[in-house]
Amino acid sequence: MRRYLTKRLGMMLVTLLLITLLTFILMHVVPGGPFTNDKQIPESVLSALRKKYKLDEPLAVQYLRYLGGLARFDFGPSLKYTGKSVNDFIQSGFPFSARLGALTLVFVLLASIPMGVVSALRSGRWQDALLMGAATLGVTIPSFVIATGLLYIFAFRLGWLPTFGVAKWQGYVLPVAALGGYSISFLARLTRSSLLEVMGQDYIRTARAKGLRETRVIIRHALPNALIPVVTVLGPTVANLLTGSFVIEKIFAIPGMGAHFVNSITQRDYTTIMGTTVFYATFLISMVFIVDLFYCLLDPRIRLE
Amino acid sequence: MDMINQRSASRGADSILEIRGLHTSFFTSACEIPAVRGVDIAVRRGECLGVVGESGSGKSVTFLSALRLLASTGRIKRGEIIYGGHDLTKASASRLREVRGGEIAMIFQDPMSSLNPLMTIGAQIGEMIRAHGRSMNKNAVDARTLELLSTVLIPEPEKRLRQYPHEFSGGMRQRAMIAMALACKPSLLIADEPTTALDVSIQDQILKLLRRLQTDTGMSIVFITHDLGAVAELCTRVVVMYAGLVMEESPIEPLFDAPLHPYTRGLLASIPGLSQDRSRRLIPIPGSPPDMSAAPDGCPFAPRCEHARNICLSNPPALTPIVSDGQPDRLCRCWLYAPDAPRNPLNGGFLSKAAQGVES
Repeated sequence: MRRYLTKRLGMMLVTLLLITLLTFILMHVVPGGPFTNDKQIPESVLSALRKKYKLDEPLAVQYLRYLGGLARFDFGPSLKYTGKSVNDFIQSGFPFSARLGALTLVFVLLASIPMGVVSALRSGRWQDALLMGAATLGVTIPSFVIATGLLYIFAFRLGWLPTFGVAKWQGYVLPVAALGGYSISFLARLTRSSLLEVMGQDYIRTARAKGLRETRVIIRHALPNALIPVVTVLGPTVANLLTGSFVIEKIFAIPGMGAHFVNSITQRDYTTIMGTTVFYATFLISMVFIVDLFYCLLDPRIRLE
Repeated sequence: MDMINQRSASRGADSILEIRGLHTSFFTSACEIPAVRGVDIAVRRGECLGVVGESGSGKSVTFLSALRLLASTGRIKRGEIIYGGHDLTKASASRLREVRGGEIAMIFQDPMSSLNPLMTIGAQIGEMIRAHGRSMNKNAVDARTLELLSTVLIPEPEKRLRQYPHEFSGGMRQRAMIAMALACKPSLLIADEPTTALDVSIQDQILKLLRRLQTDTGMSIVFITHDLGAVAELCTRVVVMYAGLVMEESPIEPLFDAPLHPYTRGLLASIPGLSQDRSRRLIPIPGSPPDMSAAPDGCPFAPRCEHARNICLSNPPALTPIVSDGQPDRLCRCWLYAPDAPRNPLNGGFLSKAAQGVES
């Protein structure tokens, strides 16, 4: 176990290092820079700026210096917003993004698994047709369309919920629904097909032959087996919610990290690009790691080696 | 038909489970596939009944129907399952739960897929004990589980009950399945091809275990298999099934000494080792079982039978009592033994002689 954990943590560090390197190279390959502007800036000012942010050094040196900063959890100053550091952006934005993401994940799990179970147990009947019809829509309609539709109905027409902002808890309802739409539909379909397959397995027949109640057969024997594939895709689901949140945060004017992540690229704000990417990459890799650990707890056949 | 009904009525007293006129079909979106087409089988108290037939003969479906454990596409269309004086096809869900596992236990062919991979062996056996004896506390359940694992000769039971099915070998898994089935001291054990998925050496161990358990507990066993060799080791009476019908029913010795039905004859000729003459060639039965979605009009075995006559192809024979060599208690479904059928077998083999023996 300890050996596995050490190995796994080592692999995570290597992955992160590769991500920083690739991002760094790609970022500098793209033409333009943080100080490219419509207005002509005098060469002397430009070179002073470059000197100030140490952009005049060779790229290799810049990269190593950046890594040195990372080791001290210092993402550096923003090149665009004077006086702001990338750490400031993360500190102010991440709590909103994390709250949106966590709420959505909880909502997704609480909605999709029961949907899938009901569908599977009523397969071929109207409940199944209704839920799977909705799930097909959820998978195919992009989140920004869902968001717009929800806004029109619940905020504009009915006026039940605010159109933007998260000052009150009601502000989270529509963003969570819009962001979770795809994942709920995807996981509900997965739960349904997985449970249907498990219900046809020999050990379910054995459980019935033991004289167990049907509820126990489903909850104790069928569900844990059916949820293994669902747990497997939780890692990618978290990634989906994360990237999806950029769009949703913009639509609902949530002051999360998404805006910085997107804007920094168009503005060539080098340190912010690096900072947000590294931060999200670390977060994602850790989530996948946690999901893997959970997977091992659920399935005794998987050994940590 | 009257004779059969009288027979089942007369032996009803010592039967533990009686299947009467069972019809079970599987339904696809397009068609109905009759898997069991009118089966009468009585399992007597304390006996080990072998149920033999090729894959798809309906032997497993018959007994899965008895406990109403059919897949969702299968349905009992007609017939009665008499157990304890009542018809299980009409039993309530709670009565059915009492019977399943508590009074009639079942073990299955593939002990890997038949055990839940996510639960320890101990938990799966304990669950069975608790399902039928709610007052037992944890220690009592654990003690009983250990006792059961020792009964089926699983070494180091304390360690084994904390392990998962994938940590068991095939033979050990089947032992664990048997331990689970014995948990509530059932009066009938239905073993659905329990040795088919195992190595030959392990098969023998499992058969010996089943025989010992039957001697010790006095429970009845239904042993479903396509392996006549295993039947010879374990059973006292045999039912031979084909295409969803009982073709022959007989005590074990006369079945092996003088099989009545051409199909039984074919089965015996196609297995090695039972004949005295070890140099004889194995003779396979030509052809394959009929497509059950279009069941034939006459005898379902007729297309593969070397003795088939016109009547075999057009009229289904009935299951008829046969008295041969002073051995009572035999039934056969074949026109060769029907007294009122035209007597002109296509070729004269042992069967025509056997048929003459019936007349005399």
